[in-house]
Amino acid sequence: TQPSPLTFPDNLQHDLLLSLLSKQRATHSTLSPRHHVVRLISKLSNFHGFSPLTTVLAVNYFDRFVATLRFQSELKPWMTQLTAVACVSLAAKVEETRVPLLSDFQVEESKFLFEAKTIQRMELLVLSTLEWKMNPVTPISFFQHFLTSLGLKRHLHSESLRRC
Amino acid sequence: MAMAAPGQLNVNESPSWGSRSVDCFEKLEQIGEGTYGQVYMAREIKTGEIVALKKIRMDNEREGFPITAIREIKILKKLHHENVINLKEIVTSPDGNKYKGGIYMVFEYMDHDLTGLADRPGMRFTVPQIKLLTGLHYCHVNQVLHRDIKGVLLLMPSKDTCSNLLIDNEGNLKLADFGLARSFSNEHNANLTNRVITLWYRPPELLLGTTRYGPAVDMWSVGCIFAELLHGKPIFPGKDEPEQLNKIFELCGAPDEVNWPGVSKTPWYNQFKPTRPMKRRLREVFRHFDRHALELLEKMLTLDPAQKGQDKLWICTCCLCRFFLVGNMSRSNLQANTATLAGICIFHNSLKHSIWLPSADSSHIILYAL
Repeated sequence: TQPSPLTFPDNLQHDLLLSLLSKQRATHSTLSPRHHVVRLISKLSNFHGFSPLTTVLAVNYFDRFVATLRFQSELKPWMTQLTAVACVSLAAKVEETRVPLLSDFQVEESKFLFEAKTIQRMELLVLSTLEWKMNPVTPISFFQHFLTSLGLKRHLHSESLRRC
Repeated sequence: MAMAAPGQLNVNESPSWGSRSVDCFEKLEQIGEGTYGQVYMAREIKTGEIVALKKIRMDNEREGFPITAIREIKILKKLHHENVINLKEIVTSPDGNKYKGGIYMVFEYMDHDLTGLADRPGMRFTVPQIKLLTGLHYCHVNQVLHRDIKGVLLLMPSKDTCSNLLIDNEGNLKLADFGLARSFSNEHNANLTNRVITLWYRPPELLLGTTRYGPAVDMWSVGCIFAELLHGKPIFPGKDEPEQLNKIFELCGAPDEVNWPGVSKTPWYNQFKPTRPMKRRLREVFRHFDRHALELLEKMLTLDPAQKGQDKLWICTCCLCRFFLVGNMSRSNLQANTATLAGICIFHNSLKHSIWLPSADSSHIILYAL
C-alpha cells in the first residue's frame, strides 16, 4: 500500500500533534452521558462490522431524537440504551447490505435486555420523531469534496476512503 | 439483568410527532399490493384530493421496521422528478396499538399501471419507454439503483407481481415501488446483495452471483421490457434461477471470456455454466423486429455488464429520445418511433463524450461536453 500523504513531514509536526492531544485530554469530557452513548453505538456498530457511516448516522439519529425530547433530565439509562439500539438498527437498515435481527442488537455486558417488540416500537418512535428524515448530511458527506479539492484522492485507496 | 417491560415504555401516550393520522384520509378501495403491503385509493378529507395509501406491513417483529420500507422512504425523499412517483407524507394509524398497527406511505394517485394499458390496441409504447429511461436516468444520476423494474404484459397470476410503472390519465409515466432500491456510489463499489429484481428481468451478472454491480442491472431490465413490448410476451419467463440463466443463454449466447471478460470468476459460474455451446440468436429470434429496434436491443441485452453500462451513451440516448419524441406524442406508429429511438442510439456511438439536452421549449438541442 502507498504511504499516506497525511503523515507529518517532520518531528516538529509530530510534537505539535502530541501536545494538542494531551491538551485535548484535559478539557475533553469522557463522563458525559452522550459520550457513553457514542461509545455504546460505536461498539454495537463495530461488533457487527458496520461501516463508519452507519455509526455516524446512528449518532446523528440519537442526537436529533434527544434534542426533541421535552423532559431531557428524565432520560433513564435503560431509555438511553434502548434509543441507542434502535438508532443503530435503523442506521444499519439505511446503510448496510446485511442487517442482523433485532435480537442480535443486545449489548453483552449491559444491565438491560430488550425484546424485539420493544426495539421495534422504539424504532417507530425515533422514525416519526425525526420526521422520517433518515438521510442527513454528515461530516462524511464532505470527505469526497475535500479530498478531491486537496488533490488527495488518487493517493487513497478506495477501501481506506470507505473506512474514514 | 433487568428486562424493560413494554408497558414501561411510555410510547403510547406520546403523540406521533411529525406524522399525521391516517384518519385524515377516507379509504375508497384496495387497488393493489406492493412488495410489502396493500395499496389503497383514498381521499384526503380536508382537501378532497385523491391519493394512494401504501400500508407498511409490520408483522415481522424479529426484523423490526421493514428494511424495504426504510430504503424506499430514504430514496423517495431524495428523488424529485416528474417521472418518479412522489411520496407526499407518512401517516400512522391510531386504532388499537398504533405502533404495531398501521404505518402508511401517502403517494400521489396514478390511474393505471402498464399492465392494463398494454392490452389496448394502438397504444403508443415508445413514449412511456422514453419516460422510463428519463426517470431511470435521473435515479442513476442521483446514485440510486432501482433494482426492481418489472414488465408490462405480465402473465403471472399472482397479485403482487403487478407492474411498477404507473401512468395517469394524462399519459404521464412514473417509476414506483422503490422497496428494493438502494443508493450506490461509483467510488465505493461496495458489496451489494444479488437477490434483487423480479426473476424474469434479472440480469445474468446477478444470476451468476455478482455482488458488485451498477446501473447496468436496471438497463438489462429495461431491455427485457423493451423486447416484451415488441414481442408481445415476456422474453425470459424462467421458473427458477437455473432455468432463467438457461433462457438468457439460449437467446444471448453462452458467456465466455471473449464476450464477457471475467465471467469465469463470477461466484456461481462453474455451477451454472452451459453444458453445450450456445450461439447468440437474438437477431434470428427477433428478425421480425424493426432493424433499428433490434440494434438497440442488442445493446441493452449485452451479457457483459461492463459493455452495457456505458452510462454516457445512455444519457445521450435518454435526453435525445425525449427531444425527438416530444413533438411526436400523437404518432401511434410504434415502428416509426422505435426507429427514431434506435437511430439516435446508434448515431450516438460516435458521440459518447458529449451530452445533448433539449432546450426548455424543446425547439432545439444543446450540446454539453463531458
